[in-house]
Amino acid sequence: MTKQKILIADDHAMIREGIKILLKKKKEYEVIGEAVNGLDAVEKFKNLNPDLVILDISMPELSGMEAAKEILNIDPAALIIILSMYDDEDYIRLCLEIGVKSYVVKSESSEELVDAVKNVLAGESYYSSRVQQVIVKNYTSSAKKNKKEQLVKLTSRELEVVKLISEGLTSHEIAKKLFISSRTVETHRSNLLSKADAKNSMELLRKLSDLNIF
Amino acid sequence: MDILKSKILIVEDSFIVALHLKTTLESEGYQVLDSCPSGEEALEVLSKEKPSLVLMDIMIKGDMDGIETAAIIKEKYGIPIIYISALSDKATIKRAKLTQPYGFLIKPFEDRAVFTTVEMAIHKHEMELKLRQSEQRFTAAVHSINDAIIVVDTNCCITFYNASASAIMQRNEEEIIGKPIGDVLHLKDATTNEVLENPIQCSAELHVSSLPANLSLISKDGSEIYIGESSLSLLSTGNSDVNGLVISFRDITEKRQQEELLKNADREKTAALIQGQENERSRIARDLHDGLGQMLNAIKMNASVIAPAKKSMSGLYTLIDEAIQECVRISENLLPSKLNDFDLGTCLKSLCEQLDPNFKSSISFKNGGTVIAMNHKLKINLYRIAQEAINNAIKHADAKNIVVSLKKEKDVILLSIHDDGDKKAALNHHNMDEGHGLTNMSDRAKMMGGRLSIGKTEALGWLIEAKVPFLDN
Repeated sequence: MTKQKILIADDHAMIREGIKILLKKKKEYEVIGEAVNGLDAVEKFKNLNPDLVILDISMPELSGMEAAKEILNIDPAALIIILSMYDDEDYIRLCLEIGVKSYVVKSESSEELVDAVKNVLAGESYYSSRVQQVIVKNYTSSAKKNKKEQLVKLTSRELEVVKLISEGLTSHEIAKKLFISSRTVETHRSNLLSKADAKNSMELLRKLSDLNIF
Repeated sequence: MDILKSKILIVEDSFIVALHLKTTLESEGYQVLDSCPSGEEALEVLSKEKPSLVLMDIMIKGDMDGIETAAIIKEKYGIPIIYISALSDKATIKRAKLTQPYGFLIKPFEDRAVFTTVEMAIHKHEMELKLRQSEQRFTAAVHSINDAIIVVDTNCCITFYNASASAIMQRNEEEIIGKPIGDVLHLKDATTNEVLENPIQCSAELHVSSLPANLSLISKDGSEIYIGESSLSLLSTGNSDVNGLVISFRDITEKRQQEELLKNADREKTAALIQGQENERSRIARDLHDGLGQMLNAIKMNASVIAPAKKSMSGLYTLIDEAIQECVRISENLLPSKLNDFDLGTCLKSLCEQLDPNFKSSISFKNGGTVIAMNHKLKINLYRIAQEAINNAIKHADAKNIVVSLKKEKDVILLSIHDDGDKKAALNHHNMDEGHGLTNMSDRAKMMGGRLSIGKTEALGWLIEAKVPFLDN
């Protein structure tokens, strides 16, 4: 049986050793190279032609994400697992956008990494349980937001008024600027407050800003 | 005055008259030199002797008459002269007047009249001498001080100026004396460049005792000189009548340069301090994250290989996990790793979201526009400003709603933080915390060549806004 070749890139020797010990227990894998930074990882990928690359997210010279980008540029079918200290939404999203197949948080149990290696080599994507939680939470909150967003529909005039409110103008000043009466501005303002379910201008702005409406 | 010591020279060609005068004066205690019959001889005597007074006949021997001789004596020695003459025609009197005599005795004269005139002349001359000396001292003092002094009359025309004034304005006597002050003293506001039409007139009317602050003077050649430490005093001569105004001011260019240098040095010091603090934070964050954090991860990984999930081990794994989380938390608090990997918008959004669920306040982030690529320093400073402003709003003003927004307008990056917190508490806090948060925010903005403004809007409460010039890598 030919063993599947794995390249490990982490600037910490301890972590590289840990991963090697972990993978040695499985007969089907062979660690064929170790890289100490992002640039090194890209070079070794070119030379060693591994089946899978495990990249630490924060490395000197070239970060894990930048190295992943380079590697996928060279071979769009390359299989990459990102190993990270952060269970942060932005990091996870960016990695998915780049096209890595798996994101594993370092502090999770080591079985997660072994599972990730197995799944990714089988052609699947793999997200550790912590990562899955983050993705789900993000999805539900943005779904909620979308739902709310649909409920708040502003007319173009109301949008104009909100914009001027955000600049700190008083009703009187807004009226002058838009060539309408102060009373009309007040009407727009109270409509806006009730549409956004806000008690005052500041809350209105905050809510509309939350919904990306203005 | 000791009359005995007063020496008198008599210039008289009539031997009889001269002898009579000499005898009379000596009998009154005066010392009388040998009389001279001609102007030439008189000048000869004066080159050796210094009498207090000269009695001068007009019609004398020699080429010069008495008036011509007197003119030379006055010019050369400043000795007071009394004419004794039989001539009293208008032309003679007019000529004699020009030599400013101390008296004019018409022959024939009475002895009493001679004594009175002589005594008065000597006394008057001494008084004049004292006055002149005092005036010289005064003038020397006024001209040698560094402050420019200008005196104007009630019509705002210049009646006096000193050497410093003339030097600053780069104008000579002809260009100053008698001229309206507005034509000579050109002043403008050093910041706004607004020209002051007539600063003195309005000052006098409003009883202001100095010129407006922050002025520069435009000298004759067009160069600008900062002036300050000015004073305006009414000029009066004892009674309540005002005769004019005394204006004094000083060239403070050097002082301002010194101040500017000090300010710059101060700013550099602050910048270095903030930068040093930031570097240190970054170093500790990195050490925690890359050193301790990775070590803990390796420990956990190795432990799980040696002793796979057993119940007895789970407590230990939990502890290691907590240690790792703590490491990440401390490191993130010191310097969010995101600042290295993401644009400022993403980092600020993340900051708002992280804080949101933990407080009663709702924080929203509004990114006005596309990703702004900026250098790392700028990114960190703006991030810290937002962090500080949000903290203030939550902790000190008890804000319910906070909106952070970031946008780029032309070459300026605008970061604003709106909040509806308790204005009074916030204000108190802002005042009290002068040495801390606010100054720090403001220093950071200045460091980036921008500025920080704090204000409140009627509808929206507090607004902290940082405007900094955009610098990409």
